[in-house]
Amino acid sequence: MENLLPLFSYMRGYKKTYLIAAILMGLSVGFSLVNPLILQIAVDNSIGDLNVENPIVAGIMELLKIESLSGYLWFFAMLYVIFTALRGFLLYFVGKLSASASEGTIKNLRDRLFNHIQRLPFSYHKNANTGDLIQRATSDMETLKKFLALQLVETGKVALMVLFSVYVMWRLSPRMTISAISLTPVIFLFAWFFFRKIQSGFEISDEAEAELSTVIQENLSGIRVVKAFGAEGAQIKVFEEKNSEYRDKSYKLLSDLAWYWSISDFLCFSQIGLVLVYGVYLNLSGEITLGVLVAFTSYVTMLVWPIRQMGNIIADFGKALVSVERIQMILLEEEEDYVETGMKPQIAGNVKFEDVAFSYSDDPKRKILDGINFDIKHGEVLAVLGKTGSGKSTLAHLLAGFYQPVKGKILIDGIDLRSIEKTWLRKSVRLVLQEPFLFSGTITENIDIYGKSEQEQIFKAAKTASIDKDIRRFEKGYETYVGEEGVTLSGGQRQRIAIARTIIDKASVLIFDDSLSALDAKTERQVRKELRAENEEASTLIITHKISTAMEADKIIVIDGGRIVQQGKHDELAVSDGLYKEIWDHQNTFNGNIMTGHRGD
Amino acid sequence: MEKITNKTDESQLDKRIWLKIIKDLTEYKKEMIAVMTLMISVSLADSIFPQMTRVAIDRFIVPESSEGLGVFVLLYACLVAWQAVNILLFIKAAGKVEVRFAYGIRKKAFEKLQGLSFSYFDETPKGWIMARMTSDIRKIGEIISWGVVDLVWGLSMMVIIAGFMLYYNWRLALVALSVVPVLAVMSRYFQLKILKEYRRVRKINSQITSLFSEGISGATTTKSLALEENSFKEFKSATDNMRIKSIRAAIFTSMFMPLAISIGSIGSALVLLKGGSGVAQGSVSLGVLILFITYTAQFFEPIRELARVISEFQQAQASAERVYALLETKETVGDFEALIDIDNEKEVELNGRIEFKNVNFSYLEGEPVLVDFNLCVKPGEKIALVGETGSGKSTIVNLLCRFYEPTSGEITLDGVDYKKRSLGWLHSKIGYVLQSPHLFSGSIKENILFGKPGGTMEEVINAAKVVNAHEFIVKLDRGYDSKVGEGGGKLSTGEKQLISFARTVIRNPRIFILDEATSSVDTQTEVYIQKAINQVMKGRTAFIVAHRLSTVLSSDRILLIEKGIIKEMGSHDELMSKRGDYYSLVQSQFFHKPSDAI
Repeated sequence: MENLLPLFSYMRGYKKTYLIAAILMGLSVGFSLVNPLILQIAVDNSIGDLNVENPIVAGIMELLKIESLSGYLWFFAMLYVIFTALRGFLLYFVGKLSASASEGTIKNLRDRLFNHIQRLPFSYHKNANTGDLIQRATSDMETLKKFLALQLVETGKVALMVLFSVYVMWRLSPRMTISAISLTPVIFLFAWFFFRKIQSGFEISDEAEAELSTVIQENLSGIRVVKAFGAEGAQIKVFEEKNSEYRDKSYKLLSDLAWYWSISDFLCFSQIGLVLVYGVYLNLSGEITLGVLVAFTSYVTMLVWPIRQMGNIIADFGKALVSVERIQMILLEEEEDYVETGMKPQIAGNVKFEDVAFSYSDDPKRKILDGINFDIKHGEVLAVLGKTGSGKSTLAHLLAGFYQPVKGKILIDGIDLRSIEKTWLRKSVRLVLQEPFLFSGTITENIDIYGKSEQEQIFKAAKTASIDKDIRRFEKGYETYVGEEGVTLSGGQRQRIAIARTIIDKASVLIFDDSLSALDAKTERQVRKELRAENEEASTLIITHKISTAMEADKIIVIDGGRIVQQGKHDELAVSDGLYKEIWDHQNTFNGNIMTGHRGD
Repeated sequence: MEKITNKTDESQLDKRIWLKIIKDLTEYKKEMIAVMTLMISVSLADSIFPQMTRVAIDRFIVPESSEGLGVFVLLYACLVAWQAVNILLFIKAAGKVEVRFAYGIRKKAFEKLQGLSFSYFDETPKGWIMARMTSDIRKIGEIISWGVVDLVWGLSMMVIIAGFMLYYNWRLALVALSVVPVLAVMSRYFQLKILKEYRRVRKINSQITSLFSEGISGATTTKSLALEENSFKEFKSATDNMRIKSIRAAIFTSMFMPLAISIGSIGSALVLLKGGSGVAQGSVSLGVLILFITYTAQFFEPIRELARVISEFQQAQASAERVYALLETKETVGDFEALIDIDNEKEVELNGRIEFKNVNFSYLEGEPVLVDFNLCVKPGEKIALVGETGSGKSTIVNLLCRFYEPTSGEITLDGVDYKKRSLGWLHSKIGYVLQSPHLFSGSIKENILFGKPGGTMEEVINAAKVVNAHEFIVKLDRGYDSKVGEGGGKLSTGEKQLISFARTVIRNPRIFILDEATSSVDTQTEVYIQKAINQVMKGRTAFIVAHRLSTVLSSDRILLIEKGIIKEMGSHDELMSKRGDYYSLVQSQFFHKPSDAI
């Protein structure tokens, strides 16, 4: 229940709207209870000729000196239409107001969540379960929206309806009232218990459907393999299993639901029947009039169906609370500190690491980097070579300000990185990730990522990244759609587009975190050459495990176990004993014998 | 792409598509008849309930007699029980039709997909097919079950109520029904409008979903480019749009009910007025008057349901058209020609002699990819295909695998045109390893057995050992039973590649085809993969689309392909000494200082 609090906080700014909607709803419920009364008086006093018992009507009659209502049927008919129209009028506003309140609440929450996710630290995203996050942001949000837009309103309506109608009925006949509500607790509880129990049935059926989708998805992704292996038959078997499983599980759910509707309808009709029979009995014993009986048959119908509906809404209530909890878990994560009040200096690109050490906060004893000292002068290229897990990527993340060193300092143009505003920093210090993400949109939109470059600039960036030719080969060229629903690009093409967007305007520091790994050797060289020619001004940090990539740099540092084990130029390192030479020899024997024509083993 | 943008006119019902559905429904004739009969029975019971009130008034209250009240209670109880049984049975029957029909059509569609050739998958985005297989088929299942339920109920309800009213007092009936045309027209208008508005809302909703999924999957990229502001702005404009459109849709919904009940109340008021004076004159009984008032109110429900259901039928039609378009797609590659040795096909061995004779091929008309391509490969020979992206080297192996067929010319295996053999036979002889290895979720063992369904554990282990995968597999928590995750996500690229080699080895194919990956893996894995390739090629005819010259070196003959023709051909040594294009390719691709290399 502690999840109710955040739920209320989401509604901030719309509480008044909800309140007005609730008041109007109360009025409309009140009006809806008037119509059966109008019918009752019409039947008893206008069509029939009984004495008027309703004090209000009697009072008005006295005031106007009317003795009998028998000539006034037209009046009641008109009243009936007027009250219905009034109720309709109110209902319209209730609908409109509650929609604007719930839609507004959800919009605010969505915006808040999206912005928050964007601003969560790099470390959060590195370890996050993306699928689960998306699930929370979309389907949990959807559950919440359904709750706010439909269920909350419906609950309020039913509650008011029960309250008001019991009052009105009680005024007409207490004994009839008891008969009219006697079965409603059973109806409510049955619906509630049933929907709580069947929850797992819904989940089982959803899971079966998800499994079925996965099989189709995998089959389509792997259709080449399936065909090459002649595995169509086997795949059809796998599919058949999941398809029939889904069929059977969803049928099981439907047939459980059939029992529910059948039994609850039985209860509801029994309740209505009870009112009718008991009403006849009371009428015959002279206790109630025919009009009252007719009014009660209306009231009971107005009560039973919504109460049945309530059972499953309340059962759903738990789901909404779970969703709130799941969304709240994200919102409570701490955002990255963007140092918003920090400096915004012009960055030339002199980078200096001073005795930098780093370890992750969840494992402070394990030093990822230790005693790192190096500098990159304005316009220089530094290559960082190391094996997988040596800590070389962490170096890149530190320089982009995604993590803070636990010891030592990183200086840019002599300014401590920590005192620079982060967005500002990252617009000057650009990192290209190994597995870059392309956004849905055209290639142009992906390269012109800040949306302010000229066409010529876009072409030039693409040419520099050696992707221009590839792009022009697409039917729609630069207007080709990429991203989830767009054309499939190879890993190398994605990396090159990512490079193009990174260099679209001048940056002072470029960091390539193994971001040429998917290119073939020839293209890679070409990209590096072009990059060098076009970005002479930028200081560049290239992180790689390939000697062929590292060898052209102005300086090379070799990292092993979080420490710099070697540094220098290629010509020096290639001849001195150490890790560099080891890797060099290894990669060399591999490729070297090509030139001599020996067969590889 | 035509089939993707293909829009259907939803304001009209297309008979052809519904006839197809009805034809497919004949299988469920019994259930459909049961559903319809039950729905008539439901609406009959629904309209008898108000009759009970009439009876109560006219038989007991007005004459002030309790005679027969016991029978009345009994009858009422029977009516309730009857309705309960109706409901139980109709939901079960309609549910059965829904799940079975969807199951059947999904099965047909999946089988169809397995038979379609590569060109279909080239042209059709995966997402498009997924939508057909999931939401569209679900929609058809729903409309032929619950849509029919609502349709039959609505129609019979209207007929029965109108019938009863006309039977009791046709004048009063006409008064009560006078508002029906207005209600019908209005309901139709609003339901269509509401559906349209909500479809718009759903569209924006899916846009928001994909923005969220992008924002989350691409968060690190967004941060590294300092794009937080930009993407938040984009997101905000989508949610703004969503809010506006949702409220608009809600306004239409909120307008409909008030208008409908107001118009309905005019009907009730007219009945009250006319019927009331009828009661006074003695031409209408009190019970009938109350019955008419109830019926007038009840009449609106079926009108609304019909208006809704008809709009939904129109929507479902678009789904149905897309699904049937998939079901009716023509297969372009298949066992169409007269096959030879079909009876003892399994015993037909393949030596591995392959010949391309004057093969021409183009994916799109007028854009030839291969031109008069001729090639003869001896059994056991290893061919390396090199050349730039788009040169046609992948096409050569695609044709050999018969994923596509030559536009003209023929490809023979051991001297026989391969179209005269079944696709199944061909694929049983070929081991194909893809550039980016696709694994299926399941265990490692299952993935290796993909190459040989029903193979033994021993064979699995042997295959893994041949490609040096055994070592890393046994180190995993659950060894061969370890799950690989969706698409093999739990394994590294190198590991995935080794497993894809193992599943090829277990087949013991005659022809081995490798479409090599360009992406680099770390040096150690590279060594393993290279060894695996050499192992797999032993004693087999091999085709390799090569990106690493180390792979090229293990081949017998190298083909340098350019624009669909063989530019240079020969062994590595021959081509190197020729100092042609191959030579410069090797030069450019490797060290700029070759002297260092030794």
